[in-house]
Amino acid sequence: MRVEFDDVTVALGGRDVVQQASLTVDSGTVVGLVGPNGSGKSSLLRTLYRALKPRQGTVRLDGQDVQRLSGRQAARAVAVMLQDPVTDFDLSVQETVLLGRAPHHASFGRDTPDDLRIVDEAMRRAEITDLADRMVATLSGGQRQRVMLARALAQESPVLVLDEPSNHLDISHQHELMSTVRSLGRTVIAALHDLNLATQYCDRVVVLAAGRIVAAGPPARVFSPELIRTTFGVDVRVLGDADDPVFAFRRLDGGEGQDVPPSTRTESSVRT
Amino acid sequence: MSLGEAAQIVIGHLVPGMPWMSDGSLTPLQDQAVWQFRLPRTLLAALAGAGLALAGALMQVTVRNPLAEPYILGVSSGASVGAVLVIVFGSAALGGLSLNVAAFAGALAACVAVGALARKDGALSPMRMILAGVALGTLLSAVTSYLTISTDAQNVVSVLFFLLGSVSAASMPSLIGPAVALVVAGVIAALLARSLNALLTGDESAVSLGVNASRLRGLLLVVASLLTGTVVSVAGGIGFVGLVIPHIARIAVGADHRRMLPVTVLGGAVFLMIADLLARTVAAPTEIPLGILTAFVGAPFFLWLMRRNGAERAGFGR
Repeated sequence: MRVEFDDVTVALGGRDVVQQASLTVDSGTVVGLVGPNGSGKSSLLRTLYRALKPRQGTVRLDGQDVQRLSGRQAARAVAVMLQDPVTDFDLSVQETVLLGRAPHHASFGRDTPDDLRIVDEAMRRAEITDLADRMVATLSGGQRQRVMLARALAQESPVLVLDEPSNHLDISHQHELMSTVRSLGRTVIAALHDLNLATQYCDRVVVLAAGRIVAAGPPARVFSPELIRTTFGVDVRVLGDADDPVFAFRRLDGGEGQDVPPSTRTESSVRT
Repeated sequence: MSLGEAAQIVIGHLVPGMPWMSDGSLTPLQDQAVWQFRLPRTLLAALAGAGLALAGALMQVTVRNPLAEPYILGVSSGASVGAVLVIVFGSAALGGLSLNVAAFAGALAACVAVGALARKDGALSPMRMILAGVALGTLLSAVTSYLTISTDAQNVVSVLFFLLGSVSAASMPSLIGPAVALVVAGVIAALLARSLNALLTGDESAVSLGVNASRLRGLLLVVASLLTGTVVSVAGGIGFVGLVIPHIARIAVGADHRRMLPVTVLGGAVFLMIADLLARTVAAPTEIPLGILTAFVGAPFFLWLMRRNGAERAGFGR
């Protein structure tokens, strides 16, 4: 399913947090949204799963305005892996993943054998099968994130939205997650902070800064040292090949062109 | 009177031609005690318990807060003002309004006011609902307190009886309102069970699952308030049932509404029937107000349950 953001402007608290963003995500591709905090990544994604209504512009799924779909139709087309599922009323892992089947049914009635099979498969893919009976609140941040992945997978939608999906995951599960969503053949849009992860798993990346799309294209071409410096305010050293780069970031000290002794530099990884 | 005799009387009224109704083995006094007093009040206790427990469960998911109960939006405070006005000034001064109708009107007015105050940009925010309900409830309680303290001493007991809740005035016709409200609310809740589960996980999460969180919250507010208002107008402000029974149901079967709602309704009915039995027997012939009994029996039982292992299922694991 093709996703189109057409001239989308989003207002929050009287401020335009996304301005005239236009972007097309082709069916079956994996696109990474990157940008500093507050650049509008999440707000743009929210217009796709209808948690926000654009002030101006249209979001389309295969040419159809998402605002004109019913809630259930939209939820059958787009699943979201949200950031934090914890509430005061706790559900078990399996009950949480079963919620992913909600858009496929009327609001009452029992879970069908099909539902249970799909949920089992989703839990297996997210590697949480042995957590099925645990309460979500007793899990670690990374485990909860995998529960939310399983819930989104169980929704069986052609489009998958990931909002900072890997911020609690250990390195191995970060790669597991990205290769899992890649292997599904669905249209995936992910807001990511880790540019190396985006480079390895995204067909295209889109860079946002201050609510505007400033660059888009294949990661190896978009992530130039200049762009990273101006957008994120960090220095970058590019390791590896030009078409398979690995980035090492350093704090931008004393402005461009100035040679700073290594002892005054701070590893960006320590700061984040 | 034995349980068997009571059963005979009830069956005799429901099924025509039972021999013991005409052979003189039961006195008219016994017949009247069971059919006109004990049966209606037991049924009202069951209906009120089930209704308040269901309303509490719905209110807890509506505002997504474990401290929520049927009265959190000022419904009982509104009902109290209506009832106390009738008790203090007399029905005639209020255009012939009966206590039940005045209480129901007060409950409805309070919940409409809270809904209007909590609305912003067409959406009901849980936090604003709670705060508006608490503030308005406090205001209305002050009105009730003032009216109570400035009235004749003989009226004070009536007011207290209403505030603490009682099913002693039950008659068969008084059961109709709560029964209809319970059935309607129960059917709506059952139809919405899966959406309620989605709402538990947050508004944004609910929307991503195809549930219009704002609209659902508005509907739940109306259903829970009408149910509570109907019960309160007949049985007064019986406390604790609506807060605690839903939690007990979650401890027993988990938070999935498809399982916890039936347990909540049944649990509320059984709990209040037992409380009413104790209310009229432990200090007989004096009757203890139901609200005192529910708190006295319910609080220790709930605290024991909460501290027991296994309460994680209700979210008490943290």
